[in-house]
Amino acid sequence: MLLKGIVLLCCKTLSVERTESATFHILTGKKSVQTVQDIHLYQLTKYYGVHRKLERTVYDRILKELHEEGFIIRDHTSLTLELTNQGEAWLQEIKEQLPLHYFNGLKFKSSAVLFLERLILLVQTFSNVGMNHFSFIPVLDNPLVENWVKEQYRLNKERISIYLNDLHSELLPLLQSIKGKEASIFVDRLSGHQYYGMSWEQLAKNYDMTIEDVQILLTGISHKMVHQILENKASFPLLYQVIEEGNNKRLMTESAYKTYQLLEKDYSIENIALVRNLRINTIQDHLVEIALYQMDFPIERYVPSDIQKDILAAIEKASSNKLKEIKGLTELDTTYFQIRLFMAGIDYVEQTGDINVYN
Amino acid sequence: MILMSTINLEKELDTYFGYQAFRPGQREIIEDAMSGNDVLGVLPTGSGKSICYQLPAMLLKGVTIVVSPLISLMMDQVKQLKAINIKGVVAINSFMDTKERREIWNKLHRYKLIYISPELLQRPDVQRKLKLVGVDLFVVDEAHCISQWGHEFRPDYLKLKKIITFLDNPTVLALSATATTNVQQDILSYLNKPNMIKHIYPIDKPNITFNVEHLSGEKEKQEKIVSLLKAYYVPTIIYFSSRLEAENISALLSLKTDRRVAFYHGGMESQDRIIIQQQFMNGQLDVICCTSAFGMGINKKDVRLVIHYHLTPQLEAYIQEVGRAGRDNKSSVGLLLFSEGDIFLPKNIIKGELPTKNEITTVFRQLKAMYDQGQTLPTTDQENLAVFQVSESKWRFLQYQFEKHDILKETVIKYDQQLWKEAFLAISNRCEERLIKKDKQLQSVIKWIYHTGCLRKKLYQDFQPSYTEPVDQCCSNCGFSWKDWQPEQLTHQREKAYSWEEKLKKLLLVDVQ
Ligand SMILES: Nc1ncnc2c1ncn2[C@@H]1O[C@H](COP(=O)(O)OP(=O)(O)OP(=O)(O)O)[C@@H](O)[C@H]1O
Ligand SMILES: [Mg+2]
Ligand SMILES: [Zn+2]
Repeated sequence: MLLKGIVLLCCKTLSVERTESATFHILTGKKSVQTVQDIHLYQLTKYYGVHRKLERTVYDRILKELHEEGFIIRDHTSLTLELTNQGEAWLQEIKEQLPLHYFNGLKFKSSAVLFLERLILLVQTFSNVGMNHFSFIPVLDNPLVENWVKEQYRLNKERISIYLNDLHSELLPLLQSIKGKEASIFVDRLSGHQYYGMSWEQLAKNYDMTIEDVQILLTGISHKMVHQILENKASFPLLYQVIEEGNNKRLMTESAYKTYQLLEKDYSIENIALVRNLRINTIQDHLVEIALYQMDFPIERYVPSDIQKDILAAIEKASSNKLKEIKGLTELDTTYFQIRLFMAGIDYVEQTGDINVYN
Repeated sequence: MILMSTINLEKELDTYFGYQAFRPGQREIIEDAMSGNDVLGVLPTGSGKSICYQLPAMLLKGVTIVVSPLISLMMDQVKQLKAINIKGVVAINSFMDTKERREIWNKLHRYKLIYISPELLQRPDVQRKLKLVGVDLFVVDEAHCISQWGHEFRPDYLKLKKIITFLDNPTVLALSATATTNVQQDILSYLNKPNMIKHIYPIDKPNITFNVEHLSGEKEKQEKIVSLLKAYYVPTIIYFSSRLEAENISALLSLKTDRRVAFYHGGMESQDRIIIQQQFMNGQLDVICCTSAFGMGINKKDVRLVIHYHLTPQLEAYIQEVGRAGRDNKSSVGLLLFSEGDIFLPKNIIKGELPTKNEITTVFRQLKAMYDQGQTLPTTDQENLAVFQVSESKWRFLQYQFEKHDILKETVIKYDQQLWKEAFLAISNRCEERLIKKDKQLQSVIKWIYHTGCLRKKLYQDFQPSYTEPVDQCCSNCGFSWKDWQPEQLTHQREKAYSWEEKLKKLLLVDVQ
């Protein structure tokens, strides 16, 4: 029902102005100019990339069901969708029950995945070594996550049970702040000492939900958790590490990291340049780098929303992603720095090579 | 090469793996391989073939690489080794993303034992890197994959010969549990090692009882399984030839019995595969409904019952899969359920593995069109599958053939009208030939199922002249009764239902437990 509700909601917002694929691209987090524009234009950034595993066949099945239930009308020539009154009514009715406010896809889609993977392996590892059990088969085989967990182990091996205690007291309030069933699903996905958590299939069966709904719900829960942790770093020192540690620090150049530390202390760009005895241009380069990695980068501080709109419109008109062309198409006093920062913020550079922002 | 007289192998075995003595064949194979002799080892399923290269890998100076057909198998072994605190082991496969792979690449020289998929080994950069690092021992696990007579033929295995030469001829160790004399011959000749020392041991499993039941159809099969699961609380694996069927029957069994059942197949994501497999290993599950993806490498000691809901396409595959049972040498049963319509299933699967004449024509056309436009092939398999619109196994076959006929060199297309004509004919014939062979293999399975004499004798007859007397009942043809099969049963207590708060405490508050 959750995925269905979200699909219906997206379709409603996009209405007949976009094809039925647009929602699919949003949910799977497609990195195309069109999709990124759509989420900004229609304010669907929350749902961007919330179900990256979603298969097209499953999506088509959902549309088919929505159609059969009389909630949407499909136009097979223009490939657009429209909500019926019935669909409208159903959406109103269920909207309240759905945890839609958990989601923040654009901001957290990568960090929440990392958070969950690290947490799962962290819990499994510490739960095992806490019982003096050093041989177990990890449920995840991502070496990056594994290395991070090993590092945590190295740092904390003298105080495993304190660490576990802290982890417990940080997780508990987060889980108490969501519905009991949701907390239960979350905990059932975790593995520990001589115990393996549930597969998607098992969760779905156990909680009488579809696999897709379980998956997207867990994504939503982790978005909410990451949000709460970032909002209140002081209360979640350990979980904050799970999100941040290595995420910002290691992927940034040393110099950009220093700039980042000063930004955290609310220095302006000019002041940082002054303090560090670097050119403003260099500091701006750092900001672009930081925007790539810091998921809650305050982009509005440097690129106000009217400028953002201006850049988006320019991207739409542009035939390439070359900065020069985009700059030429802007109408306000938009700077190169703002365009680069904006594009970094919406994940463009991640798109290995084929869009060269620095041209 | 190492002077064997200077090493106490038993001591090393104990140090690294904690085993007190070698099992039959292990010492002989290890001694030969470590002295620099190429070896072909045939040992039964579950007899400990892995030790034959894992121990040398720890002792040899250079790197040992292991080519293995199943990614899950490699990962599993690496995990099990890490679990007993053995360092310097890694599995590299094409599913890793570039970042992960680069990390491993940069410190490749630090590893002692590297598992690698045959696909990845084809890449020139991979080969160059391995050459630089220096390979001492080159292991071909599940070596029957090299032969089209063996089950699970893998074209990539045919290219190993060249790679071995490129790597400056390290010692080669080929291992299998199911290699007939034909297949053994193929292994020697395709690896171009005619002088390999053969260590061939009997592969029969005296503790497994073979049982074939002829039933009228699906419904009877399901009833049979339900009643068996109700009577025997033992770890059980049920094999299916389709993913969907495995899922469906798994659902049915959890409904109709109080056993803890789950399914497992290659379509699941990696984390879930690990979870299900480990739940089974760990005793949280008693029954797994699976495809052949669950099998090789699954090393649970106390599997008592292996049921085949569908027949396998070759007897070798059956021997492999039934070999999951009774790895602790206690009495176990292999049960194959057969109804007449089942014959068509593997026939269709076999057909689906090889390209049809039409498909070959289409792919040739497409290649020509790409050539005319000066294009090269995409680099990844996935993209190629999309471009040529064929299944993965068909594409693997075709790609190998194209390279063999000099039509493809990596991603570059080479055109010569005459050559292409000949290649087209040769490839079509090759497909035909393979279909005939596969059909022959299927026929021998069917013959086995309808055999009225001893099933044990018949099953092993292509592999060895005789077999050890069974420890329990022999087979359904020699006289089998379920009543007389009394394995030790699991005690089944219903687990208490905990609240999530309690579960979280159990996971994290270790001193409270
Ligand atoms: N010398 C030994 N003493 C005790 N246990 C051993 C010895 N050698 C191997 N084993 C154990 O035997 C089990 C089976 O080993 P392994 O998985 O290598 O079998 P295999 O021959 O490769 O089987 P398959 O054909 O199914 O792949 C493992 O648990 C392994 O640890
Ligand atoms: Mg093996
Ligand atoms: Zn018999």
